[in-house]
Amino acid sequence: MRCGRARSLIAAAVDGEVVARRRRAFDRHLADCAGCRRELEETRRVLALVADLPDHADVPPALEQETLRRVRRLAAEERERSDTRARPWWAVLGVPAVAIATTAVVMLAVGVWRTGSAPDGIEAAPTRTAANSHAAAPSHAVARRETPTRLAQVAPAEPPPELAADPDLFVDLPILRNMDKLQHFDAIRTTTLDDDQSNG
Amino acid sequence: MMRASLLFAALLLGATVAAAQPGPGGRPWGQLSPEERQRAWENYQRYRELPEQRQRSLEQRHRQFQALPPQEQQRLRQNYEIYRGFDPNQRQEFGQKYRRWKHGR
Repeated sequence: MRCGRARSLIAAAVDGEVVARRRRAFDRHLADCAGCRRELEETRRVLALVADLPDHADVPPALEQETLRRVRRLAAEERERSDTRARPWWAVLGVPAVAIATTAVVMLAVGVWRTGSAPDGIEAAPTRTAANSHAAAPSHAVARRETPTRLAQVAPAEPPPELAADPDLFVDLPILRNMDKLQHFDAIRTTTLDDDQSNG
Repeated sequence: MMRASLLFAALLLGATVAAAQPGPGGRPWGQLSPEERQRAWENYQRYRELPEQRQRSLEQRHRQFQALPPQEQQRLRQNYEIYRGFDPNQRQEFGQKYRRWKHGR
């Protein structure tokens, strides 16, 4: 038996927990190794001291709280260090954080799919359905800049009175917010900027 | 008793119909498509966050919009669709042109 193996058995040997065959090998090693004998005696002494300690001791509450606080902090720091070393980034964040982030991405994607962005931050463009509109929307209305500022919520079955009173006001809200621009759309588009004039 | 029941039923029917009626010129909620309801709901939530003065201004514009001829309303809708299709650079340029156009008007 080598020293490393013998020292791993010392505490169990002091408690009489080493099986007979291994104990014989352990004892043979101790007979030839002064270092392991010292280690055995030291361990026996320490364990005897520990055994003499009372099971319960009254300590001031402040000391108990402070000790627990420091132990928890050190444990958390150690856990964080070991987690950061051993785990991938997504595991470090924890399952709840990853789940929340995934849900947020999915909901955002749904929001992007469902709504298009609009001038002045108003989303959800008001192209009416064919049944309700006077003419179909132009085919060149493409390439939406779709960046919703919040997650979409499902419309309630029973709208609030203000919404129920005049739904078209809210369907057409993006148009209303940009009415001046839209009424003079062609004139604005053909307006030249200073840079255009100097370049032209 | 019969007459009172009929009167009550008529009042109930009238109240139901009145509740389903939209504002002047608009459609009732029940006639909106699911997509329009969703847009209306989302825009309603944004509207609620606007200052009251801005809300009143939008209501006034809504009345003006409804008073426009159908062809003009449709023209604005089409312009909006074009505007919505602008990429960020096009929007920025359009905004600059709008300010210039407005300044020179």
